[in-house]
Amino acid sequence: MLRRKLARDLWRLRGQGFTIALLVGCGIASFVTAVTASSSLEASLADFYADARFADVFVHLERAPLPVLDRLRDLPGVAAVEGRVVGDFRMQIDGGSEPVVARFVSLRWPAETQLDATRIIDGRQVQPGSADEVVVSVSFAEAWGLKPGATITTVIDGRRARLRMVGTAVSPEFVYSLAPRTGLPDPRHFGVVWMDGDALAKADGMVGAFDDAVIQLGAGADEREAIDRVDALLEPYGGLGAVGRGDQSSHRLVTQKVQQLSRMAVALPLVFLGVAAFLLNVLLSRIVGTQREQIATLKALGYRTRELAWHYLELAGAICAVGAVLGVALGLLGADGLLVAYARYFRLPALVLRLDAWPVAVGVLVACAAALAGTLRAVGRAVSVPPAEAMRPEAPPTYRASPLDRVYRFLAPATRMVLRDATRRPLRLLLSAWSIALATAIVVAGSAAVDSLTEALGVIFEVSRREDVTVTLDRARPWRAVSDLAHVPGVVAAEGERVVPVRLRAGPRSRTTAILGLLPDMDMHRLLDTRMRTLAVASSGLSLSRPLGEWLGVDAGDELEVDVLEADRPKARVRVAALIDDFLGLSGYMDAAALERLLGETAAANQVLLEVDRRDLDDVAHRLDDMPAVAGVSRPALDRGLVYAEVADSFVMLEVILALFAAIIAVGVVYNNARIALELRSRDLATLRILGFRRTELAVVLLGEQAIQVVLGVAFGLPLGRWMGAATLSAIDRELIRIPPSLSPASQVAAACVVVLAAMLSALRVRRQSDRLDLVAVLKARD
Amino acid sequence: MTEIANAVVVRARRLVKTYQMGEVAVQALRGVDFDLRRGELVVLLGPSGSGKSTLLNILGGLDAPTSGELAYAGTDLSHPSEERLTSFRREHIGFVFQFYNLIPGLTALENVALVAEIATKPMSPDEALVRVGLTERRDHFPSQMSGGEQQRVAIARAIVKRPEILLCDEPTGALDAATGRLVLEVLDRVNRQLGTSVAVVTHNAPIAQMADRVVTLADGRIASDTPNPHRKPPSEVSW
Repeated sequence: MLRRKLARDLWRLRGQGFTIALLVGCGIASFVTAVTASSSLEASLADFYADARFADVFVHLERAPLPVLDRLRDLPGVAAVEGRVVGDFRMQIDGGSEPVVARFVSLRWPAETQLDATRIIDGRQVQPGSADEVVVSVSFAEAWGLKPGATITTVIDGRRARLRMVGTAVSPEFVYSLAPRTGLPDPRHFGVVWMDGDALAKADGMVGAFDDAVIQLGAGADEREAIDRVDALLEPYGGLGAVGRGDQSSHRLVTQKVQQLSRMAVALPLVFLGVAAFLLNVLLSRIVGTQREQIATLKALGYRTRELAWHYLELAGAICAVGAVLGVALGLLGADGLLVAYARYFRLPALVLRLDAWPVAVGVLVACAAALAGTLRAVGRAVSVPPAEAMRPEAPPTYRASPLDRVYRFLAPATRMVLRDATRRPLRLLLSAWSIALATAIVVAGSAAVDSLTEALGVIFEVSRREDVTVTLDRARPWRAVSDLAHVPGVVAAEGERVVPVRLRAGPRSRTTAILGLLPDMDMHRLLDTRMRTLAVASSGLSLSRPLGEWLGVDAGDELEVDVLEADRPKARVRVAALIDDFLGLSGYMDAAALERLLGETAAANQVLLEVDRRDLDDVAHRLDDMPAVAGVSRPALDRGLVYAEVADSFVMLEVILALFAAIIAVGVVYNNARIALELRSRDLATLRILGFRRTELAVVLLGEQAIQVVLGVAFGLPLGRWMGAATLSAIDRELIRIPPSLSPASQVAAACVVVLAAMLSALRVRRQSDRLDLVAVLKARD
Repeated sequence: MTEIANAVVVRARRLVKTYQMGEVAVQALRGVDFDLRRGELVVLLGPSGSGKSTLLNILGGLDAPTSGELAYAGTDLSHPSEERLTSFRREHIGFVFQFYNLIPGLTALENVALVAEIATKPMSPDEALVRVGLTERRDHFPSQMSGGEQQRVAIARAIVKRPEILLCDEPTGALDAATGRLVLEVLDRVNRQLGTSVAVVTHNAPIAQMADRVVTLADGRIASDTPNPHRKPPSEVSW
């Protein structure tokens, strides 16, 4: 019989039960999604890394004869070594005028068993020895719509070559490929091209030599020691400093993503399950309040306390069960969707959804535990009342005079009712407001991430980098080269920069990076800090990106050793002028003249920034392509648009999902509270109706408290969300990009609207139920 | 009684009220004719289920008749809109219930002021409390007052708008005799001093002694309608 009562109670409470089940479901779903997606991603990566023999150490150098490879192999801890030819070259796609850079990587044979081997996705592998066949990275082929059989033109070492694409491939080194210049995913302007090793060596003037090596370490080998030995060995050959997997850009970003997912697997479910537990507690207390007499009667009839407690726990359990089913289904759907989205960035031969039982089990258990913890108190109170006492109606709520009455005196009685009720249960009011605040904060945090990114990209591409075209020269050339480019028809102005690869050392720590030599009065490249202040480069000394300085453990005034990694490879000690808060990457900045002194060279530039008349952009690009001194051409405006489209796309999706989550919380809180208020106060409301209050006036009394919760919640939620947004941004690798938190007023209004709208819809629904109150019946009923 | 006092405030003709209780139709009123005249105090008697409360609810605009005519001061109220009924209650009707139905979150004075606020020509809430003899309890909450005191606040709340009609459903039903008499005295005073027409539903027959007219209902019909020429003050009524 109790089962039948349970079924009827559930049916009667279906609206409230469903909104709570939805919250439990969201909690489980966000957990299952995040855990399943991250473990699927990790597992797919691990499979790919093992299958394609992802290397442990990576090093690029100027040039070394092939026998040096044997010496590398003989180093302690090294298990396998492969020398390669790797270089970035300009490329043209038929029908495209945009600047494209391709990273050419030589293939060794048999290609399948090499370190960092390619896996063919479409078409076929290059024929060994073929001079004009290439395989290109999948993301690049997709961005340009290239199919096997397409031809591409490239300029290697000043000579133009036509190449035939025979297939697309992925490699563990380029799971997530970042354009080297912007450091952002940009498959339209940056691709990887694999070519027969001998053919590439011949084209690049590297016959009998290599300029890149990948190394696999033996089991138990110390990575740090191995890197030091490799660096020492390759030093005479222009070694640029070896890095381990942790600093390999693709691996590092994918790992970061997996960590972000794991973090999300904790944060979001906590919010949902906390709110659900709170609502279940409120709902159960209320049911128990109205069923006091039934409970007493059942006890009088001989039911045990334990049986009754179990009965109410079953009610909570049933709600959780619905939530669990919803949650697991949504969670797996979500994980699948997330993997589809990731598959656009993370290029693996297969990104397979791995179904584990444990996230489902843990998610459901944690959710049920949270919900049951929320209900235990209410159930405990219900079953502890002696039957004789419980059969009497519950005493009327007590109100006492409070200091606030002085304030209330100036308010209308209806308003006083609302305020007294709200302040009678301050804890419940605050918890409800807190739930609403979390809902608001979830949306705000998502918006803050998008706003901050938009703002940062805007600053980087509009204020800091203002050139229309960036030209990379084949080597450092006298400043005359800059004025030569200024005379190209269509070019309005030209400014030169010097970019020098270096290794910075401070005590035991060292880092490979580049020093940018800037002229003091440059217009097209302004050094800005994250607070938008223009930074002047000190006339002497080296300014460092703050994370770089922190990594090296140096501050303004300290000295650093600088190993220049090109030409004569001079070494020098340089004083740190300042640590600066720039936006992108890890760089050193020096006054151009000071850098010249350091290098012991006469004035030279290897990068030129051009301001170009918009109408002449394509012409200028073509002219530049034909100049032998030009190694690469790029257009920041194109980068920005495409990069932003890529990034914004996934963020918009995320924002929609977060807004939906927030709406579910707001509906859950407001609908449940308003329903309970309606039932608790139906007698008051009916009295007011009889006294002649209109329905709209009644709505103020019924929903006033909900309005207070929502207003308080949104007011707390906006700053909370701003803080959560900043925390989300801090999860982004600081060494890659520093994004100052930013949140536009429009985003705040939009977030508030989502929550307020959801709350209003639920409130309206309850109001409609209040309109149907049977006045006479309500008054006849004993409290 | 004067001619003006004789004027009919509420006129009901052939009132029928049928409730659908599941599959059974229950006839609560089976053709009731009833007039409430200006300034009179009517007591409606009858056993449980006789239809007296249903009649009172229809007279007060809490419920609409299934058929029949209802007019207030010449205006037809037989098929009123929800909004008209609300306005009618708001402007002309005062209610007193068996279980007081005070708002627990408001003090005595505030419960009264609640109605004063939406009325067109109310007396001051303090005056209403003076009339029921409760000035010293004005700042107490319902949970801090006795049943009789709560019922007097309910009466103050009902009269503060200066209604033409005061409808009381078992006003002493939840009170002991002494307290009940105190409440009846207040009703009697309101009727005499303000000229408010008062209809009191009760199954407590002795209360009929304080009425101008006694109407008895049985089985959904008016069984008798008897004027009481010797209206007694409530202090002399005993039960």
